[in-house]
Amino acid sequence: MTRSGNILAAQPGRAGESLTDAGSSGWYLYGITHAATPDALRQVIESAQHAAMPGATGELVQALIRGELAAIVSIVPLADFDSTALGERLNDVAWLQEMAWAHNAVIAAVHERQAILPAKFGSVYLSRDDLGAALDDAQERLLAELSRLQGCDEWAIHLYADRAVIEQQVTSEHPALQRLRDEISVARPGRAYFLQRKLAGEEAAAVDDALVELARGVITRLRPYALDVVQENPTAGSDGAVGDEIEILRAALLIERKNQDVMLNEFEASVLGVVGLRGASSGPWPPYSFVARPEEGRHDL
Amino acid sequence: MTYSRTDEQEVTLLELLDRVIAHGVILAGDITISVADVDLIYLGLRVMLSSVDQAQQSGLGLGRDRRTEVLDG
Repeated sequence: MTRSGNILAAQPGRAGESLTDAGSSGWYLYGITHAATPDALRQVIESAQHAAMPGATGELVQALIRGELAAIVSIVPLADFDSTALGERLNDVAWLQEMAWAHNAVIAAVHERQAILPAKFGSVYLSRDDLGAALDDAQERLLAELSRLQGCDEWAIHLYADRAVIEQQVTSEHPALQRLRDEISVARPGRAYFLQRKLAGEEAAAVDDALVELARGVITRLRPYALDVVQENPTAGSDGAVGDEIEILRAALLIERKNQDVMLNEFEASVLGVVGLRGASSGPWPPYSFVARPEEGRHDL
Repeated sequence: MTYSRTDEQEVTLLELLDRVIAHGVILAGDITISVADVDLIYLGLRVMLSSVDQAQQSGLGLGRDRRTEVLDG
């Protein structure tokens, strides 16, 4: 079923809020974009409406205009999004999966047409005025963020290493380790035991250093093509690792679309030829990792 | 040494959640769920999903309009 979304003006102090402000419904915020022209915005909303999963994140996708900004919203039952209900439903993986994809689908549909600042999942405002006031307070900085992210996509980069393969290479080529092995081969049993322990520790440290260098080498090659890079600690998990692999680099890159192919080619070139290394990337994503959050202090919204 | 590229490969749920839940603009207002609540739930969920992801590799049947590249050195 094709449905067209509404474009709503959110004037400060406007009397007669919609029926949806009756107290049982809230405004689910997908993201913030330029208000643009009415026709352009209508196309954006229709595009987002097609992408949305009916019933997943509420009903019609709408644009709530405030000055030069438009909040992309849906009206949702507050009962589904109060602290207790949402807390319980976030543990339902199937529900979360559907909701997360619906959230992303709407944002991605807008992102294909114009810059959008994705909102954090689960942001529900109690009234149109509440959301409008929040937009007013941050209007200038939100516009600056939109300008910064215009024409850019986020790409996820992962680098995996087979530690055993890397270890074999490192330990066979490392002069200090070879000297230690030579020393062990002629040492008395007691001393050999302690040297063996020392060797094991130094081998592990050498491999750790090599893995850090491999990751650093790849990200260094990609940085010139990125407007921004966010590196995350891969030790929190090794998503996507196969077999004995460990994830040694997990990063999000903000890439101008014109630089997308050259960045991907550089990534390919940086991984190929290194035995024991595997790279994976996904994208283009809306710039989730590059919108500022107040606690980061970089761009206080 | 191989290099493969597919245009329509699945994207794991973790990849999505890392973006949708862990990031995003937060505007001051009467949001009905606190950011801290979502973050805490997300952290616990991520640990659980990470083990699922390790086992299934392909995630939970997700992914559209996303290009995923796999590079083998």
